[in-house]
Amino acid sequence: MSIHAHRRTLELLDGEYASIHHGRSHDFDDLREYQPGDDVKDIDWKATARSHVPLIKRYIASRQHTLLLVVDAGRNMAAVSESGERKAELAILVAGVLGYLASRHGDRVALLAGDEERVLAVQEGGSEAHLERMLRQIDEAVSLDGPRSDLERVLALAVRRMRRRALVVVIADDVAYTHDLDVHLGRLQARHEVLWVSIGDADLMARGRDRRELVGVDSGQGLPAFLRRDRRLRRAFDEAAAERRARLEEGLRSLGIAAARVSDERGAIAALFRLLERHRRARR
Amino acid sequence: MLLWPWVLPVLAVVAVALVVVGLLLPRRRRDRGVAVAHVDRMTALGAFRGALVRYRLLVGGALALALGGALVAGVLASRPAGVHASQQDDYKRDIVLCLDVSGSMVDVDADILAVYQDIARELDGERIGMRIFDASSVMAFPLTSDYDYIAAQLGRYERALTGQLSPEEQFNYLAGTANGLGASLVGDGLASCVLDFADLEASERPRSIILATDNIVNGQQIFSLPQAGQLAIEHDVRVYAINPFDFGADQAANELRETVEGTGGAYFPLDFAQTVPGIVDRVNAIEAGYIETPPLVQVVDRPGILPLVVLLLVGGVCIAVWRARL
Repeated sequence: MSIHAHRRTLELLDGEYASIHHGRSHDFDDLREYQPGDDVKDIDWKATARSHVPLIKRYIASRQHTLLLVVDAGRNMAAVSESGERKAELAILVAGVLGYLASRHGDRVALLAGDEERVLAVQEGGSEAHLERMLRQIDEAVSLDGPRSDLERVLALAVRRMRRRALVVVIADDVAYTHDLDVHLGRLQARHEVLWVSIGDADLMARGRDRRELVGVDSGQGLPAFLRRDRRLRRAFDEAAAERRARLEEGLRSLGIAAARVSDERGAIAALFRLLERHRRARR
Repeated sequence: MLLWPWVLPVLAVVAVALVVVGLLLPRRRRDRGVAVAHVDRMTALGAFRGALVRYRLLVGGALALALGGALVAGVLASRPAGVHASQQDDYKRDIVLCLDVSGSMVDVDADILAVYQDIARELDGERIGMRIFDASSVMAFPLTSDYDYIAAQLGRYERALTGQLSPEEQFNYLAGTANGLGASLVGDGLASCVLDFADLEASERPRSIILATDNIVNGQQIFSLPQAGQLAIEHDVRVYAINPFDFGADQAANELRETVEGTGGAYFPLDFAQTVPGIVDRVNAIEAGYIETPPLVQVVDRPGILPLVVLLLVGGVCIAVWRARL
């Protein structure tokens, strides 16, 4: 299992890294048939001359990808997820799974987390300890007393800072798909391959037994339990929430960004695998 | 009138303290709510504003009801009271008509019966009995508050005395009055009338006798008139005498006057100035002085419908709070 990179010259396969580490010769394994879209300058003309088909060379240095985790570290992540867990836990789980997959694959993982005030940038590294450190930093950064979330700002930073081509995984929540978001994601996607993971926000009209008041983390506004019994409001909310998610999905799809929504810990792994599968199949 | 007016300010202080606590508590509780992100998902909805207004109305209504309930409960706790004056039934009097039916007295008796027939129609609680006497006495009817019966008996005797009995109700009203030696034995008659009062020892009802006689005694009495008067005094019976034949200072009239005035009653000669109805009015006026005991004045709690109001308000608060899911 790996995070697929669509650029043919940067093709990453499990077997390839295994061959590198085992120190086998490059002469055959490192050549691959030319496929439309590959850079012409990558063609190994000598090998092509020996063979019937055009073959392309692959550069080991290029095979190491960078996985950039863009994580919202603001107050929103300290809120409760759809399943009742702290959203940060799910975000860390997602970041951990994807980072682990990448580091096992030989890729390097970097982190860019932030909110409306802070920026938490961790340089890329390949070890599991490095990943572990990043995850801990996310956990420490996210708190209810922390600054508000500002995903657009973090994405703009990612556009500005990440010059090298990378796989970018944005870990956000059920944000509204705004124009700014569209612009930043478009820029990011132009240079990188972007994957999107939504951490499912709590259903504000949750039918659960919990009678407590809901408190919005960004404004401190309370939503008394009374509102959850209002049928008209419930219908309106369900419609609006579905529309909001549909707009986000639609926007991401139009940018060619594969997206998944993780709403609880149990379904997280399956959702991520579906995400990777969708990403692998996506047309560029 | 409030019995404990100091309760109101005390409760007001308690209510203010409760309101302050109630306003401060949610502020501390705010931290303990469920933290959620993106509340604008809900607050941006049009339906949210309506629901919030409904919620605020419910909470405000509950608060107003609670305050109203507290106010009414405070008024109730300070014990609204009223003065209750009660006239006890024990002071309804007993009257025995004690009529001398010797020939000379017949007309006066008929007048008295006519007057008491009218009075009996308006009575409530008083008891009337009747005894007639000549040489011996006969109870016409005992003390009773059955006013229809009283009126019927009085009418019957009145018609008998005036000779107007219809053929089918003929009876000899004099039957049993001639068993003694002599006639108009007033002392015996009055004594038996005094003993007519039921439960002499137990009852505290004012007792009076309307005695119609000329006190012309003819024969041997067991009780002399003064002795009968003494008996009446012993039993707290006031005797009112009506004498149609008062010729000034004759001895019989004087004896009668002294005797009845000794019992606390009064003596009325029947002459041109005084008619039987007038005399009875005066008797009633005098008696009223005895029966008008000071009414029992009690200060009683008069909550009125306030407990019901409190109940309704509290019920309203419960419903509003339940609706608001507080």
